[in-house]
Amino acid sequence: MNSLLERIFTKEDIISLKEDISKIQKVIFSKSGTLSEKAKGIAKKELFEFILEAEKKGEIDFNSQEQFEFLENLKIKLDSLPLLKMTLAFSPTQSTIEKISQFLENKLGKKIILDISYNPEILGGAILEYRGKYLNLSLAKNLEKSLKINE
Amino acid sequence: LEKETKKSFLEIEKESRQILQVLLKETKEKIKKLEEEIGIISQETRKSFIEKRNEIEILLENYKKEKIKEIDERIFQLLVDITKKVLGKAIDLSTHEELVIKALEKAKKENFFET
Repeated sequence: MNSLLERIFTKEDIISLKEDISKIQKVIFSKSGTLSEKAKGIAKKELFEFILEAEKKGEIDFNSQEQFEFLENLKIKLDSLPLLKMTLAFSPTQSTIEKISQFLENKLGKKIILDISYNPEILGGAILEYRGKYLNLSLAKNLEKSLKINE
Repeated sequence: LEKETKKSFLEIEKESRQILQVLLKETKEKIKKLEEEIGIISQETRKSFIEKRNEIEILLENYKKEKIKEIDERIFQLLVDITKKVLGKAIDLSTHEELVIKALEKAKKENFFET
């Protein structure tokens, strides 16, 4: 699972990955062979390698129904990954997204999927929402606080 | 006849004096009563005037406070808007990244990611 998640950072990445999985699921019952054979040409590199690896470990067999369920479980696992909603003052580049994701993984010891939205009004910093909790660490909020104190 | 006339005259004079005295007394009483009524009315008017004046003073004071508060808020908002505009243009990508990382560090310190 870790290798599969290496290039997954955002909610959009998860959606795209799940779409690829669904595409494979659609052809599972109409083709015969291993899951990697069925996924070839449909799955992107990381997903394809993940399937190959699972096959090597004997986690998937030739049974189409079991192959389907393997992918279904994968989708469930992807959906259960912790999601951090972040409002940023700028539209982040891929490199920035990767930096944020890496920082979180290093600090928290787990993969967190980012759901990033853009609002220039917050000026800088971030507004965070995680598992029902909300934290406004934006520059706009800090600025208003500072100005009020100095008023 | 002369004696009779004189007697009658004296009686009339006496009665007239009595009537005059009664009239005088009644008039004095009426004047006194009127003076008292005027006093009461004057007191009430004064009291009502003072009350109204106090009410107006309180209203004016509240209005003044409200307006000063409104002006303060407008100035504050203006200050915030100007600072936002200046800062918004001044922050580059690397500073933005730095601010986001700092925010995440702060969130971690505050145990925001703990479940």
